[in-house]
Order: sequence, then C-alpha cells, then structure tokens
Amino acid sequence: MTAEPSGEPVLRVRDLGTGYGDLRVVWDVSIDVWPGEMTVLLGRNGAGKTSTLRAVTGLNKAVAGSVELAGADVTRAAVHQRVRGGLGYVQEGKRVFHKQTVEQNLILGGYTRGMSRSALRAEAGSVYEVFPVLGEKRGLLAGSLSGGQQQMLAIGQALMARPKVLLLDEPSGGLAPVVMGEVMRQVARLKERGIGVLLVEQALEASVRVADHVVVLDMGRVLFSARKDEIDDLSVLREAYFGKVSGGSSDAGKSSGPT
Amino acid sequence: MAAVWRGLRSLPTWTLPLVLGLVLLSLPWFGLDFTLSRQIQLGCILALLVSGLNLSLGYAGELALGQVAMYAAGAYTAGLLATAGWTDLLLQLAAAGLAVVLVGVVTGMAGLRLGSLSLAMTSFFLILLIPDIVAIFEEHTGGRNGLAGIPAGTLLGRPVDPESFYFVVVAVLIGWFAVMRNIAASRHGVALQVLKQSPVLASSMGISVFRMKLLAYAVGAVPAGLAGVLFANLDLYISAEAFGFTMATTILAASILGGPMSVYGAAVGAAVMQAGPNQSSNFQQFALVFTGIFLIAGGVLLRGGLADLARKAVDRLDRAAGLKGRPEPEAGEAPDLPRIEGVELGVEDVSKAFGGNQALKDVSFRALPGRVTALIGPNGSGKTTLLNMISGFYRIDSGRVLVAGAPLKGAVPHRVARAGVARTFQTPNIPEGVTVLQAVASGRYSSDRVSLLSAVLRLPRFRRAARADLDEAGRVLALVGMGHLRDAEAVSLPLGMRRLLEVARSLVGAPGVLLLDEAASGLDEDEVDRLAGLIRRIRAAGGTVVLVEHNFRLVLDLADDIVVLAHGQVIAQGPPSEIAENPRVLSEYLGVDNEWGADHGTAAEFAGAAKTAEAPEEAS
Amino acid sequence: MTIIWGGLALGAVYALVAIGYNIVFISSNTFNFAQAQLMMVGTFVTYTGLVTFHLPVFAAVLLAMAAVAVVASIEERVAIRPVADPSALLVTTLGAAVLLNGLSQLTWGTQPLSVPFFAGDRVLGLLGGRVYPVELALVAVAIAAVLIFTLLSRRLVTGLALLAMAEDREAAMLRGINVRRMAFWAFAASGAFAGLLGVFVGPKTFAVATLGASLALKGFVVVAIGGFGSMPGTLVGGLAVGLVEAVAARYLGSEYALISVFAVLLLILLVRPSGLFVRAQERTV
Repeated sequence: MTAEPSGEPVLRVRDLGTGYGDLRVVWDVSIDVWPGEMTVLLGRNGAGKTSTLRAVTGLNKAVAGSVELAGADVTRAAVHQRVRGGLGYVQEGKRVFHKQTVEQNLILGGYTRGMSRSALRAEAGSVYEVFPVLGEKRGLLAGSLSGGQQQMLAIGQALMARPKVLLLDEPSGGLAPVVMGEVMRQVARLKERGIGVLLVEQALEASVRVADHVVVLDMGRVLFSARKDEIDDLSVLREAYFGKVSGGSSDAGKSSGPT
Repeated sequence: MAAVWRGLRSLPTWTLPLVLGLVLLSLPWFGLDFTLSRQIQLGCILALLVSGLNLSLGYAGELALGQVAMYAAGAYTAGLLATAGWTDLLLQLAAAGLAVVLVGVVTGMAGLRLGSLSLAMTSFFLILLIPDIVAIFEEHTGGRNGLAGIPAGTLLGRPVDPESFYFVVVAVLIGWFAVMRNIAASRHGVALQVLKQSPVLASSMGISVFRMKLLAYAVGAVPAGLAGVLFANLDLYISAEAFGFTMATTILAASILGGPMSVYGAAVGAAVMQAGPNQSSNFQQFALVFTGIFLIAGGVLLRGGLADLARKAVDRLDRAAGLKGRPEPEAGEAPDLPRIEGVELGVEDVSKAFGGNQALKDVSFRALPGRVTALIGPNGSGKTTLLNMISGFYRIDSGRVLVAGAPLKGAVPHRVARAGVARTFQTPNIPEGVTVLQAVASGRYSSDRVSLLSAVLRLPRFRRAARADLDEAGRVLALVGMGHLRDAEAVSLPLGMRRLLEVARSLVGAPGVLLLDEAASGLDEDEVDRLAGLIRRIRAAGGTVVLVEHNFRLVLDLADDIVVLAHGQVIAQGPPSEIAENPRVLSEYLGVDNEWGADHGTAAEFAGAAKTAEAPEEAS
Repeated sequence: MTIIWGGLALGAVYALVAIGYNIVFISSNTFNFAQAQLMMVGTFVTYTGLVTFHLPVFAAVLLAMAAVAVVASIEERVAIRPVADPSALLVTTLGAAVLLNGLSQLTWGTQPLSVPFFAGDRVLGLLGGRVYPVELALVAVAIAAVLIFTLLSRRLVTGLALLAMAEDREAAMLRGINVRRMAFWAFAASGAFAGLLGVFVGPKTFAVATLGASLALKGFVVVAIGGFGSMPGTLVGGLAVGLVEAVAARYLGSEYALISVFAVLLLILLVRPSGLFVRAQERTV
C-alpha cells in the first residue's frame, strides 16, 4: 500500500476476528477508512462481510484484533458508545422502525445529539433535501414505504447522527435497478460531506467505480486490499474475485461439468 | 470402579427408577409412621401433577398451568362418585382420567390457539375460577364449606384401609411413570422435542403442530386427574382451598427444579418441594418465599433442572469409565443408496405478494426425478419465498404447485410433508437433547405411522416401526459418512455436520421431492465436496432434488437444470452451459450491469470472467 | 349508578396495573407478572407510612415510590437481566411475584389492612349514584396517567426511543440508545409508579397479600382487550372489565363475577388476538 492519503484514517480495523458462538467466521481482517473517502468491501455471500461490520460496530464480539474510531480504541466499547463516537451503521435489509413515521424515524436518528424533539424535527429538513421523497411522506408510517424509500430513510436516519464514518451493508440489495441508481448516487455523494464511507457490496464493477479503496474478502479473510488508483486493470480484481470462486475445488468440476 | 460403573450402565435406564419405586412400595414393612406415610403420599400426588406439567411444558413447550384445575376436576369426580355410592378406586381413576382428557381437549382446543403468554394467563385464570365454580354447584360440592364425609374407597369390592391406600398411591405413581417413560422414549417423545424446538421444523416433517400440542396437553391432564382421585381418597375431604394459586406455583417450581424435559425429574422436584417448602405449611409465607426463590433461581440458573445436572454427571462418569471415546470415522465405502421413487414437482404460474410487495410473479418450473434442479438468484429475488410456498408455509395467491401431478393448493405444511416433500433449512434446525441417530430417525415420523397408544403399551407394531426407524437412520447416517457419530448429541455438532445431518433427516423418509435450502452455505470445501457427492448419489438413485444455492460454482457443477429468479420472476432457465452464457443472468445475478454503472459492454467481459473460472490455471 | 361507579373505580385499578405492564412491555418487550405485586407492596408501604409512622400524605407517597422503585430495580437485576431465554421470563417474574407475596405476608401479616384515604371517606351522591371520594380519584388518576404517558411518549425523544427498543432492539442500539440502562430505568419507573398508586388503590382494595394474583390476572385481561403497548387501550379495557365484574356480581351473583370476566377474555382472545387497539401486523419473512 503506497501513496496513502494524508491524515489519519477515521476508522482503523486491525487483525479483526469474530464469529458466532464457537464458530469463527472472520480472521485477521484489516480495513482503513479515511475521511471523505470510500472504502468498498467486496466478497461473495458468506465471505464474512456482514460479520466484519457487526464486529466493527460491537453487535458481535471481536475475539481478536482492534477497532479504532477517530483515534480512540473502541474495541471493548458498547454499541451505543461507538455510535456516540461517530460510527453510523445502515444494516442490510432496510431496518427502519416500521411502526413509527418517517419523521419520527429521523428524529430518533439524532438521538445521540441530545437535542429537543422540535430542534431535531427542523434538522430532518436536511435529509429531505437529499431525499425529497421522504419529505413528501414525512407523516406516513415507515412500514408503508416502498423498499427503496425505506433504504433512503435508513440512510437518512444514520445521517441525522452526523456520523464521522458510515458503514453501509448492501444498500442496493433487493432494489429495482432504477431505485438502486437513485440510492447509490446519494451514497456516492456522502463523501462530499467529509464522511468516511465503508460500503459492502456483492456487485464488483459498479461499486469499484465509486471507490477510493477496495478490499475483497473471501472465506473470512482479506484476499485483496489496495487503493483504486493502484489498480490499472480491473481484471486483476476480477481474478481475485472470480478466480477463487472456481479455484476452490477442481475435482468436483470434472465429474459433471456443463455439457 | 470403572468396571462397576460399566456394569451398571449396561442395565436398562429404567432399572434405577424401578428399584427406587419398589423400595418406596416396601417401606411400610420396615415401619412407617403416619406423618411420614402421609408426606410420601402427598409427595407422590405432587409428582403426578409435576409429571403432567412436564409433558406439556418440558416436551411440548407450552406453559399451560391448568394442572391444578385438572387436579380439582379429578378430585371432585372421585368425591361425587363416592358420595353417590361408587367407591371403587379403579372406577374412579378411570372416570377421572376420562373426565380430565375431555376437559383437556375442550380447553386445549381454545387455549392452544393462543400465544404462549395468553395460554399461561388463561390457564392461571382457570385456577382462580375453581372456588366460584364449586360455589355455583353448591348442593353437590358442598360449596365453600368443602365436600366432607366422602366414603372410603374400595378395590374390587373390598374396603381399602389407610395402610393399604399407601400401596395404591405408590402403584399409581409407578404405573404412570412407566407410561410417561414409554411416551418419552418413542418417536412421539422425539416429535414433541422437535415441536418444542421449532413448530416450523415439526410441520415440515409431517407433524401436525396443533394436534401434537393438543395431545400433549390432554395426556398431560391424565396424571393430574389421577392425582385428584388419590387426594380425595386420602383425606376423604376436599375443598376449593386445596386447589389454589399456591399449589399451581409449587407444581411449576418442582417442574423447573427437577427439569421440565425429563421423566423422573418430576419425582425428584416433587420430593424436594414436599420435603422443603411444603413442610412449613404452618408458615405458608415461608413456603411462598422458598417457591419464589426456586422459580427465580431455576429460571436463571438451572436451564434443564436437576435432571440436566444428573445427565451431565452420568456423561462424565461414562467418559471416565471409557464408555465413550472420541469416535473415529470408519473407513470403507459408504453403502449404496437404494432406489428412490422420485416424483415430479411442478410449479405453475405461482404468484405471491406481501402487502404491496410483489415477492413472486408467475413463476413456473418443473423438477424431474433423477435430476438436480437449481434455483438461483440474487438476495431478495424470492428463492426462499418460493421454497416456503412449495412447503405450504405461505398461502399461494395464484397459480398452483403439483406433486406427482396432484395439486397441493391450500395444503398446510404437514400435509405437504406427508405428500412426500422433505426439506432442509438455511439455518440447521435440530432439537435439543436428542442423539444424532434419534434426530435422523425423527425424519420418518410421517412414514410408518404408529399410534401413541401402541407406543405406551409397546405393542409389536410399535417395536417393528422403532426397529425400522433405527435401521434406516443408521444406514442413511453411514451414507453421509456420519455413522461414527450416531450417539453424539445432535446440537453439539459443528455446523457442517449439522447440515449433513439435516440432509440425512430429510432423506430417511425416502421423499419423493427433496428441497435443499442453501445446504452448502457455511461449509468448508471438504464438506461441500461431500455434500455434492451425496446429492449426485441421490440423483443417481432416482430422487428429485431442488437446490436453492448461492454458490455459483456448486450450481454449475451439480445442476441439470437451472432456474434463475430476479425480482420475483424467472428470467432464465436451462442447462448450466446456457445459463453461464446468458448475459441477462450475468448482469442480474452478478450485479454487473445496472442503472448507476450502465455499461453494456461489461456483460460480455464478465461472461469471459466466468469462463476463465472453468480453467483455474489461467486465473492464477 | 352506584354499581357503575363501583365498577368504574375497580376498572381504574385494573387499568393502572395494565399501564404498569405496558411501561415494561414497551421498553423491554417483557411481561412483568409481578407488576400487580409491586402495586400491592405500594399499598403496604403507604399503610406503614400513614398509619404506623403517621407521616404526612406526600411523605408517605414519596416513601412508597422510593421503596417500590427499589424493589422493582432489584427484580430487574435479579430476575430479568440474567435470563437468557425469553420464555423463562414468565417463570422468573412469576417467581418474583410469589416471593413478594411471601415477603409481604411475613412483614405485614395476612390480615387486610385498611389504608385511610387522604380526602376522607364521606359518601357523595353523583349522577344518581353513591360514590366514595377515592373511587372518583381512581378514575381520575387512571385517565391522567394515560394522558401523561401518551403525551410524554409523543413529546420526548426518550418516548420514541422506548418504542424503538420494543420494535427492534438491535436497530435501537445502532441509534445510540443504551438499551440496557433504558430497560432498567423503565422498570424502576414502573416501580415508582406502582408505589405512587398505593395511596389511591389501598383505600379501595385494602392492603392485603392476596391482592396480587387477582390483580395480575385482571390487569392481563385489560391488556388483552386493549392490546399490548396501547395506553388508551388500557383505559377502555380497564373500565370494561370493572363494569362487567360489577354488573355480573350484582345481577348474577358474586360467584359469576370472575367467570364473566373470563368469558370476556376468551371472547377477545379468540376474536381479536392482538386486542382492540393494536392492528395485527401481516407477517413477512
């Protein structure tokens, strides 16, 4: 890794390991996210992407390694403390509070800022500027929104806390292509606000286009990690990504390949 | 020491309880004063009540606290029969047993439709009603004054004096525990454990959730009714006060203490509660304090009660005596799979919407015997929804599913399972407290049906089916290469083994259609290879396999037909060679081409990437 | 009309138990079986404050609030927080209820103790019926409690946070909510609330250790009618149960009072399992 950007990363993950119960699913994962830049975390299903994010936020216990947020070691901190420290996490699957209105969801997003409800309501205006459709539907229950709108709300909710770094877990998952475009355009613009973004995606090409750094996970380990400008040719990445897909078991392929 | 232990362990597990029961029966010959005799009889009565609760709470997982109401029903049945001149104990026991089963079925039909909290509360409410009901029928029950002067019981025409009554009480207890043990150690006992673990799993194995719960609830009422008869004949006086809130909580505490999911734990828990808190009946307050502490401590600390501690101790002794070594996988070829009568699965124009969200739209495909049909698609494309609709967990909005040409429309999951559709789950779903062999054998619940009665009486039909269960399960275990693990505890296996166990369980009933839901996820490469080999053999034996899978490589390797779903619709289907070249599939499934990074040239590039994938040398 | 007043007052007591259930349920998705016992302890402590120590009313109320809040906090730490399996909570909170029953009997005996009402016990004539001041006060307190809690949950960000916790605990943590501390304080608050009520409930029901079980079940019926988590639902449910009980006792006989309430419960559970005020959510996976 040469030519790192000036300044310190806002999120520094070192040699992280995590799992569920006795089952270890992630080993020695190191990731950096710089302010105003986007790191993309790629990998197939089951590669350990979501488990890594859960360990970074503290939802899962890290059994090895460390997590540093804006210079402070938060490896042992509770989830809510990390959120107060500037960590935002938009989970997979559009998890907003279905039984609350759009506006109430956004107000809750600003919970850590210790402001009054009316001040937060005013603050929600900034989210409506980014996603105008949410402003139109501010009085509706979040559960009645479409999938794409719920995803926008989930991102808006995270923005209300003014995060220093934002983890996004497959924000495009399960969305129709047109909606996905709208959501991803706004995700790409988060960098302009000085937020460090860690984006988890399965789709390789499209996410690499907006990335500054690329990390590929496979079988719970880092397979590839580099700045994007160091990658002259995407085929390197593709090989890292797909070569492994088939390289795993060649004998299985022999007995009954496609005919 | 070790030799003595090995000798003891070679005896059947019911030897020790039986010996203890006989000792209890013989105590009067060694001199037993009145107070102690009465305490033992009350303890036996409590043990009966606790045992009934164990069946519904421990095995079926229903917190139904109506035991006391059944107890009262049994007691008043006996009291009323006796005052009407029917003093024969056998008659009273039979009548009370029938009466409470009736009450159990009627209240259970209503109560079991409720959630667990509602069931607990309504059954508690039932207890509060006892004094009022007794008061309403005052001329028969004596109302609030109680029913006094019940004539003493007789047995086959002979009067039973208080000394002989002791034998009746202990004999009923021993008899009931034999019944309970026969239920627990049968496929019905395992089915109840499956049900407790997951109703979804139970119904996917052909177990009717509602009927099974009702059965446990109604059969659990029987010992309470018997206990009532014994209690009425012990004191020859009954009043509503004996059947109150305190009694209910004592029963619950004894069950938690002894271990709700155990047969003999009931006796231990009852003995502790009878010798402890119930002794201080002059100071009811202390009894309440102790019961309260037992309930809290039991709920927090002792998840399986004393029975669980005992099991662990036995386990440790077993290992110390060298009875359980670390099993080694046996060498040699896995046995051949006999022919499987696979049937055709047809899905025709199936649609499903959740609220405004169209999850599936006009999906059609066919899966044929002797072929592996793979369902693939990106996250949220509707694969698992489709599988759940085939299994009957979701209602089909329009279209139909056919198994061997017969439509399944409107079928509930256990009926789909009985029609020969077996499945595995994304997260392996395995009941606690059963061995690997039992877990696999439970997959045969819907083949070779055996009634509960023949299990209780251990009729030849039950024995035949039980032997067949074990033979078949052992054979399939050997087939998946897990024969050496047959006596291990199923839930303690690592993930890969649990997945293979699930496949074995769904295979053991010789299903017409086998649905595998992401069976390869979380497996290491060795395990994936073993799974792939197994699937090929199922195919070769004539089985119909439907594979929902994320692992693209595995699918290309294994499938004969591939169905690609995206946004709830089939976007392509055909043999792997076609699918691997299909640009639309690559763009949708691999997420190459979309609005925010539109570049149609990339699809071809990716097709290239997928091709290089077939030749790993080039990639490295 | 006298019967109706009596029924309404009784219903208010049940509604107040149900409000306690709801506070805990909303904040930690737990059904605290011992809530009615907390209220019972409240009546005992109020009795001790007013009769034994001759404290002024507000001091006795403060004492009761503090004492019951402490009891509730201990319950949360001992019987709620360490429990891993949610289905075991029913057993442990039931244990807490039994334990509180036993301890109250040890401390205050088994005889009903009469708690004096601070506004006197002169019978009033109102709308053609006879009514005690405490009965009017109970109805007023129940309505006030529902209004205040509804208002608080609308106005305070904390109110939203509690609702969020009930819906999705993990997502709530990710909004920076300290879920454990919040659940603890909600429990303590429900204890303080139960303590506060002692001064109103005691004069109507007496302070007696058998109060808990029947109040617990009636409170549950109220929640079943009104729906879990619905504050306005508790008011309607409470008043309905109180009236059914009073009317059945008057016209059918006292032994039919409970049975009538039970019949109402069964009817509601079978017809509208999620209660009258909570819309059933369609399940999606």
